[in-house]
Amino acid sequence: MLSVQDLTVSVVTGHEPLKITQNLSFDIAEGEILGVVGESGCGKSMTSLAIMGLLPSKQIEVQTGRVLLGGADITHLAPHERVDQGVSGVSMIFQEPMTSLNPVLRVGDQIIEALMVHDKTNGRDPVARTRELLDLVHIPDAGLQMNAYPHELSGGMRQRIMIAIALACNPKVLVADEPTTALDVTVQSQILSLIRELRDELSMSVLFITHDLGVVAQLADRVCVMYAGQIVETADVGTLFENPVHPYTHGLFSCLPDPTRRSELLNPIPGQAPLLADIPDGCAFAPRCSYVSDNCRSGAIDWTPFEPEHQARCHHPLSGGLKK
Amino acid sequence: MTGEPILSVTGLKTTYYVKRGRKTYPLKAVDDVSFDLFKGEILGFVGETGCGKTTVGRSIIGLSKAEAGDVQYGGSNVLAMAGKQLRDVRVNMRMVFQDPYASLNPRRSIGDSVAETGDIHKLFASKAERAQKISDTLQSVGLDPSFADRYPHELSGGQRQRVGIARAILPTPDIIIADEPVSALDVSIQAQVLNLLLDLQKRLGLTILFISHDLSVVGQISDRIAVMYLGEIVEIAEASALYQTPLHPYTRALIDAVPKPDPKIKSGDGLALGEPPSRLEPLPGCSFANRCPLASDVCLTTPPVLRDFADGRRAACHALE
Repeated sequence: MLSVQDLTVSVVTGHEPLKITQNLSFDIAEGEILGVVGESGCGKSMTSLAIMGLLPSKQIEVQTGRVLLGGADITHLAPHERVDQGVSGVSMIFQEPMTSLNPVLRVGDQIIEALMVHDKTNGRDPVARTRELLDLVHIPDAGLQMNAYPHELSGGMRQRIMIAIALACNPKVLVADEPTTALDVTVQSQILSLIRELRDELSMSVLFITHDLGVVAQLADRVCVMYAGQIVETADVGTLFENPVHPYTHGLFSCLPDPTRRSELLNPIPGQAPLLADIPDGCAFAPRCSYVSDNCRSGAIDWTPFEPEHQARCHHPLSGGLKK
Repeated sequence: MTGEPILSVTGLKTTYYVKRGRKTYPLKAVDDVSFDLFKGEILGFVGETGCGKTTVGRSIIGLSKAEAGDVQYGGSNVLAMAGKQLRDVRVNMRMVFQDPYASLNPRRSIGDSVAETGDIHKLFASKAERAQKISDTLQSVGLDPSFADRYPHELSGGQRQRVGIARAILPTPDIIIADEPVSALDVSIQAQVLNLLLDLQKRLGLTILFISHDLSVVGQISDRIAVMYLGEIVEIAEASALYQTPLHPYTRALIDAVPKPDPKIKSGDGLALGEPPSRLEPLPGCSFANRCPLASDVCLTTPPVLRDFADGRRAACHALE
């Protein structure tokens, strides 16, 4: 449904352009949830903005690569051009619903606005369609809540409104950038099950971006692990959590607090992620990796396939699964 | 836990006053919280946004003004102290804050920030001793002594949080109140800082009150855990007991909702739970009653009190035998 090919997003500077993401490629099938997991600054949010045509300024641009939606190239189309050309099949929800909603408009009007822009009322009353959307995201008393302002709603309800707006254009793909990070854990679990349910009902594809391995395990069908702008490992969720091969993925797992192994020291990854300006040549993870060898420090690291759907960029893939 | 508590909190109440239009509502951020903190333990406080866990920490040290209650430390009530007496007690009870970007003065060098408590209390005999103490402290939190001359903007989030911890251990206190110290950090850096706290606790014999919204983090680091809901402690128990056999229905819901990093274990969908009620209009009975699967008539009218259960556990629930 959505295909990202060889995508490189760069900050244009006076000198060398700084690559935020490097040669990303992934596909999302219809009705599939792809989880993209990585730490702050690994380029996961910029990837989602590039897909949406929402890169923040003229200084940040898609340098190479394409984004295909159902076969149509949408890489360099601005949001309004997408609407005009009728390829508006990708919607996005953001981390902080309070800052994404307009505080002085009633939430119902904000949904109607999205319906009008995309002309998806199908000749029906937009208010009735809005009520349907609110029912779809399980907002109780839809008729009443339409008239509420964002500040009158809880964080969970606001995120449901965001999802309703995203659904207004009947998207084929929903891009969700950390949509549950600002929510409490009991509310988070409700939003995750809502996304799962909408995927099943509308056979929508979902690109779910998060830093939380727990959320990925619970929601995604397939996972891409990102580090310093590159995808370093990709597999279906069962394989990745059972048998991760990239040392960085291993490192992430061994950092996870585990209440069943209480007061044992965790096994953190030494050092910290590189800044954009000094991502090393060769494997970006090499300076923090305990399996590093000389050939890791130069040249591009190619994909090593393990199973048909499981591959990693590493010269020293680990086997034998996770040490429990 | 056995022995004498190093800090004993009884009936702590802290109320904020919130304006809505022309009316002012009392918001009982902490409502009658009592617990003991024992020497050398890590006591975790866990709960969701607005449950009062941060206010408990701030009230103990006097950063938020408690309305009522008694905090016994070293034979006297901290809440009754003021002026020099309070400042002196704060040398032994220190705080580590959540946001390492907001809690360091951007115009002070790291060395000056770390030495601040010592400077205020005139604890350094000479410049050389001060420099030596700063350098030792930075090393003990895993930073190079050369960081003393640098400024906060030069540091990463993880390094800043190490500085935040360094400030809290020079001079070595009895108690550290750590308020969400790893929430702003990435998981790999979070693990480094958690290890540092465990290491310091063992080396310096610290007692830590560890406040976090993240049940996994609290479970990893704490000896005992107190679960808070809307200003009250609903359950307090030894950490592994709380995890394996949670008593209170809220604790169970919380543990169930945590997304487990294993696709084979399905986390709960939390759908039956709904959302917490408004803090400004508290329920007459148990504050969890409207979300609780076990709620009965008595829960809607009478607030439950914290009762003793087997193995020194305590929980506040009518439905438990």
